[in-house]
Amino acid sequence: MIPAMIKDIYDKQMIELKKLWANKRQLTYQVLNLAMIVFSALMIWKGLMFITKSESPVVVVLSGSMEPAFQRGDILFLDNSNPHVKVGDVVVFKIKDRDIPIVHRILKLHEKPDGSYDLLTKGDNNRVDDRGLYAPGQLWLSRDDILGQARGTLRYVGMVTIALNDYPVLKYVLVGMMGLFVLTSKEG
Amino acid sequence: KAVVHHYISIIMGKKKSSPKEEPPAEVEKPETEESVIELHQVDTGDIIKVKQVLDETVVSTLITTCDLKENHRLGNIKLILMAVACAFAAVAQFAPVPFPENRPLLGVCGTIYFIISGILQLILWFVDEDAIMITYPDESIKETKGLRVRTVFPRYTEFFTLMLEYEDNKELKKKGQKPVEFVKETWSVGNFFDVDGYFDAAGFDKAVARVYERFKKKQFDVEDDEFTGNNKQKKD
Repeated sequence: MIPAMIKDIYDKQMIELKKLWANKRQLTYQVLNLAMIVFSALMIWKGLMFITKSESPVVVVLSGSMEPAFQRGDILFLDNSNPHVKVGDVVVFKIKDRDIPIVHRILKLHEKPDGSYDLLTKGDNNRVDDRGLYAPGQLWLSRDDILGQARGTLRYVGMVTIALNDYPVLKYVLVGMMGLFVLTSKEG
Repeated sequence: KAVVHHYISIIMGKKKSSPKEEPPAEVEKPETEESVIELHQVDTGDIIKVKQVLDETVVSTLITTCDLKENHRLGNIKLILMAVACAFAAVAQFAPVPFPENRPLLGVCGTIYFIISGILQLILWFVDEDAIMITYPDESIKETKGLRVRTVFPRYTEFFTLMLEYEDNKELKKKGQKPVEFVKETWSVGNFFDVDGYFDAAGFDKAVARVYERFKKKQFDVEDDEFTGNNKQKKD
């Protein structure tokens, strides 16, 4: 029953695609339409980057080191527009030459005479501060390492991102299906 | 799905009620023409698809049977706008300048992208509205103005309305010129789709051609052209 339905949908989509290929004007319109949908999403992301001044304005919490405040799978909204952070702020930072950002709280802060900061962070749920995580020989973070302060959160919504990351093939399946349906549907 | 089909077949009343019956009588023609005409099949519950099939047939009828030429000017404008918007978005996305430095570029390109995107949407809402095609003037009858072809298929009804008017009718209406010249006709989609969703393209082609004939002969409809699609003139 189900394989027959899938084959049916597949056949119908193939007919639509063949029709599309025959009419180049319509094909161009649908391709540009799809591109605009993709670009709209990208531009919204870039817009968020612009407004928050943060490299990564929305992140997903990957570990439980900030429980009970944040759980694995939470989405965090960041804002990097404040150059002056304080002890107690929840910040997301990246250690130089490492990919994965970390969300922890500022434990200690030293302001140097030239106005720059030395920062030490620690996860609420961890026993020790983050010195063990920093690069070898690094004792303090600087303001540049910080991607932003956490300003808002959505519980568990980030689980989808975690699934897509753990099983990358899901990404291609999802985008492929969405692309196919947009190309072959003509609601405009 | 069976429930939906049954419901639609009740609404579409006119066609045979038994779901097991063969496609409508028009299909018997192939035997005399010695070829098999493949009928397009649509899920009759998918109103978007139904309108799409009807719209496409209107366009192809007017172009092939009625010998009109499509005017692609507005379509080209839209395509160019889309391409330009995508170009700006691509620059914002792929420019090799790292983050904090490229903020001004992001701001400018992103804003331009959204402005063009907004313009496109406004065009769709206020210029296109319900029109599916604009044509060049019909040379065979020495027309000076092209056609604007509009269709309406409201969400929960079975009635599809086709309206043919001159391409400048909207401007004339704004200037308050009455009566405005148009023809319109409403059909129950049950006239052209059977219970299983097989589409009678030939029959619809004839129906559309008849509407254009009326337009050519200037037998304009004089009712108030409230184009709501609720016109219950059922023609067979």
